[in-house]
Amino acid sequence: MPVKTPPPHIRREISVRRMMWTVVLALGPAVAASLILSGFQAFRVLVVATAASLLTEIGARKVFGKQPAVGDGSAVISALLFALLLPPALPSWMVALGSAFGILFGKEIFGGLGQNPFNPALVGCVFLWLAFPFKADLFMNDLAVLNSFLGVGALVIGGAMLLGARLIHWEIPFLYLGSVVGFSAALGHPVESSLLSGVFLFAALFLVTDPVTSPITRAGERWFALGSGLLAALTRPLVPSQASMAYAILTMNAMNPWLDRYLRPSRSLRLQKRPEALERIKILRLEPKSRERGGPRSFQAFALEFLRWLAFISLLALLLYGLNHFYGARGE
Amino acid sequence: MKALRGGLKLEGKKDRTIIPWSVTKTSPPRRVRIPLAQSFASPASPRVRVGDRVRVGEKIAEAGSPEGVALHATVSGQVTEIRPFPHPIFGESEAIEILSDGKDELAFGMGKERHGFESLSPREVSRILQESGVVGLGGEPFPPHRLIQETASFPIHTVILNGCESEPYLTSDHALMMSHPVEILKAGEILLRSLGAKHLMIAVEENKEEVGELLKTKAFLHKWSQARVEILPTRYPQEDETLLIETLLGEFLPPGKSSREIGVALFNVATAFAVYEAVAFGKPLYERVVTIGGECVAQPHNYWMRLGTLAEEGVKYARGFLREPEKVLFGGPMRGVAQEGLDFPLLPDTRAILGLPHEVVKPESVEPCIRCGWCVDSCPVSISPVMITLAAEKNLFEVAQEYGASFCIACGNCSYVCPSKRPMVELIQYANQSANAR
Repeated sequence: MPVKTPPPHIRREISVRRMMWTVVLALGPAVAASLILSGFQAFRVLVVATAASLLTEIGARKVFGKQPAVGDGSAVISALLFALLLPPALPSWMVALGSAFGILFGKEIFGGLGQNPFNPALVGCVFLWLAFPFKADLFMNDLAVLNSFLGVGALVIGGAMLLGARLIHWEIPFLYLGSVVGFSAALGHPVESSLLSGVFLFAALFLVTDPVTSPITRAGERWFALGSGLLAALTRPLVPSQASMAYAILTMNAMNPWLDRYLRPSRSLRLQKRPEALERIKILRLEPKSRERGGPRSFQAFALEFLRWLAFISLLALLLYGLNHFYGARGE
Repeated sequence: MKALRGGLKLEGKKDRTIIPWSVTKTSPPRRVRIPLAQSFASPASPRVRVGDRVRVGEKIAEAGSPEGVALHATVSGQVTEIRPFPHPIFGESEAIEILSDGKDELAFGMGKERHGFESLSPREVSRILQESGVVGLGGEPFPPHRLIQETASFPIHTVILNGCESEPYLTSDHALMMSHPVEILKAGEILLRSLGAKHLMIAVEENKEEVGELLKTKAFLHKWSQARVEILPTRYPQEDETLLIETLLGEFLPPGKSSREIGVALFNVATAFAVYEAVAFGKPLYERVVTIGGECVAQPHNYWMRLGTLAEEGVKYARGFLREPEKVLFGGPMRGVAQEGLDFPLLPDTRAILGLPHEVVKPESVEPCIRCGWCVDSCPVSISPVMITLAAEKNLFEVAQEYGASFCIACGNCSYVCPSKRPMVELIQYANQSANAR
């Protein structure tokens, strides 16, 4: 017996799961490069980070009473991104702690896949950097993998895979890199170090293009890339490059709702060039409703809003603290 | 080049039905069921009783309202039942069932060329069209006779013949234009004159470029310089009324308005062909070209099918199903209506009967939104389906309107591209219904 369902009856051959595992595949070359360059140490960091993030996700889903969705691969992506940003010599317990923190407070606490405002990998990294300032030298100076020729080549291959699978818009990495280099040059910072640093290439391909934590419109994504580049260029003389990259992207993540709102595609805006058409819409459109908020808000909604603001404010505080901290450390 | 914003390049899957470049005539079906309610106009009132003998093209029901049209017998034989039957859109509706005697006798005076049909007055043309039961064969909201009657209150400056067909599987308009290009151009001429319009445009897409060139050649040979053929890029949903007018004329059609209010009359090419046959030969609308296709069908092709033919008999023209279809669709896979069974009659605006297998239409589990923004990229009317649906799930209907929910044309692109397989179109429609209900 044929089934009756609403249209459309055909769907594109893609699923969230497939998207996520494609990104994991695109990270493959970078993972391989790090294994070649750092051997067992890199392997240990990758395995510990992945295990910790998967276990945290399963645990969090149990506690929050949701279906475990480990198969979607997003926790694996976060873990790999996180591990690639860490020095291979880091003790295992710190890797596990950072990874778990990133997944729990970067993602699951907001409701899991698709709901997180901040990139979990960066949240984990920033947490480690700020929680263990005495390890700052280790964190910031030992990123041989991303900065090596092999690492950059592996990243480029991964980026080509993402472009080939049409998971990222081609101009976003270029805009981000161009913005970092351009604003660095404009501010008089050494340009070649930013160009040669694999950290920015890594961010351009895998962090700025993350669908969940970047705006929904293409225009919004472009502004997001430009803004992340500008903020990174501004803070580069104060902090090491990966810290400036991470803070810039996390700050722009917090601006997503505004980018989504003000850069939304709008049929009426598109038609402003044709005033007579706009007149016709105005006649037809419903009266603009008043902005008052209807009805008492539920405690849950209030708590959620409160948590969001808390997260935003604490992030800003972290940013200020981090800048101050690294600036102070350098000044001594 | 003129093109849509957004839109999708869908896999055509048209080769199997279009390759013979023809439309096959079929023998009359064993029985037909003609629903009295064919569109949203009030249902027609029957003029025959159970047991009456009818011939092909005889009037069996009178128009129920000025918007409605007369209905005609589509086979010769005996009226066996007049009672509620399953209806593909309304669920159930009163219908006239005729059992065929297989002789296929034509009604008196049918099929003769009407002398001087080029110089009929608009009033005459409108009467002929209503009596012949010509309605929009591509889902146009107003039948052509109504547009001609009301040119005083809605003057028309441009007639557009819509030959765009970007949905997969569908090739009925393509095959019709290929077989009858001159008739369609002549119909454009008749409509142009009766509506008092100045411009005639015929829109086809690049996937049927040869049809566009054919129409251009015919228009050139007949020196019909006012007919302009436009070949547009193939992008779904180019055939949508709103978007076609926007692409061709740069005119914006606000939601809830019909094209005639901005001086445009838009007809499907199949409607145009029916207009020509009714005006030039006095042939009532009793058959249309239907694509019978989909992977499950043994011999997919385009067939001339009598209106009211049941889907099971229609599928028999194509040698039946090779395997059990997961879904049977009336219309294309993006906008068609899924049917629960095969005992549903063919309506005038049914372009296709498709039998689709499990691997094409399998149900998929819904995941949370990951904000990838593909729905925004693919939306042809520049709204934010992601924001609207997220708002609709939280019952924030004002937010949904702010992001443009009322502009939705339900083309289904957002549902098609969504990697999380969220029911986008349904959620947007829910947001619109709830906003209107307040």
